[in-house]
Amino acid sequence: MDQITLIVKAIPENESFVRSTIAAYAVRKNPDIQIINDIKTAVSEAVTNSIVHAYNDDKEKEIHINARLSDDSLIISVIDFGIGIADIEKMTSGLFTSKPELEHSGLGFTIMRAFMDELEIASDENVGTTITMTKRLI
Amino acid sequence: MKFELIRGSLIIRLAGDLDHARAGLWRKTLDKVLSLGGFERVFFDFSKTTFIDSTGVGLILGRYKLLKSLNKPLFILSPPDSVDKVLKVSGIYTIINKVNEVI
Repeated sequence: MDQITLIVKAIPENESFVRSTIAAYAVRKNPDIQIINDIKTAVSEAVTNSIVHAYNDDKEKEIHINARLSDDSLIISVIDFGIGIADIEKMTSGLFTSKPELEHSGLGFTIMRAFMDELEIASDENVGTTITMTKRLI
Repeated sequence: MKFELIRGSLIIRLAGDLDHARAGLWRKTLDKVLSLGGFERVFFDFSKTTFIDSTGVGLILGRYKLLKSLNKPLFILSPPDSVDKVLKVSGIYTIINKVNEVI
């Protein structure tokens, strides 16, 4: 399966770089613009989560993004090596945020789930989090 | 960001990508402008917005709360489809009305 891997520092400026790059990769399958927009949104949410929550804005940390194209789907993994998620169920229920003082809406996972066809979260405290998302392209 | 005041309607055009990287910068500017007063209602004009994420939604909700405490209504103006979808999923339309022209 064809694939690309990006390794970026955990800085907000990389959010737009990563979502645009992954979208450009998916364009190879010529999907609808709406599908491309969905992918951009979900990828951006995952990368933002790593920056804000996993790494607490530590700009020296790294995020790995792997994208694979199958015949009909794009599979994306966003991997960080941060604090991890203690209670995945709580964290992914709508409107829960660990940082209300920063006006985070707590909707990141809700949006990822709504915009992608499959969402899988693997996390260990103080080891890291891997979010794997699949989007059908045709 | 572009501001326009027409007969009591403050129209704020949020052009470009409203993501985590930009939300922090825009929050400060918005709060400064909103604290000046001189308007009856506020429109966030999304017609030139190319992207929004949950941080952008948080920014809108925060300003909604601020304006509510001042008894000034907030409207969402002309979001393109990609922005509209994020706002719908976020449930924001249950508390903030969407309009296609300044009223």
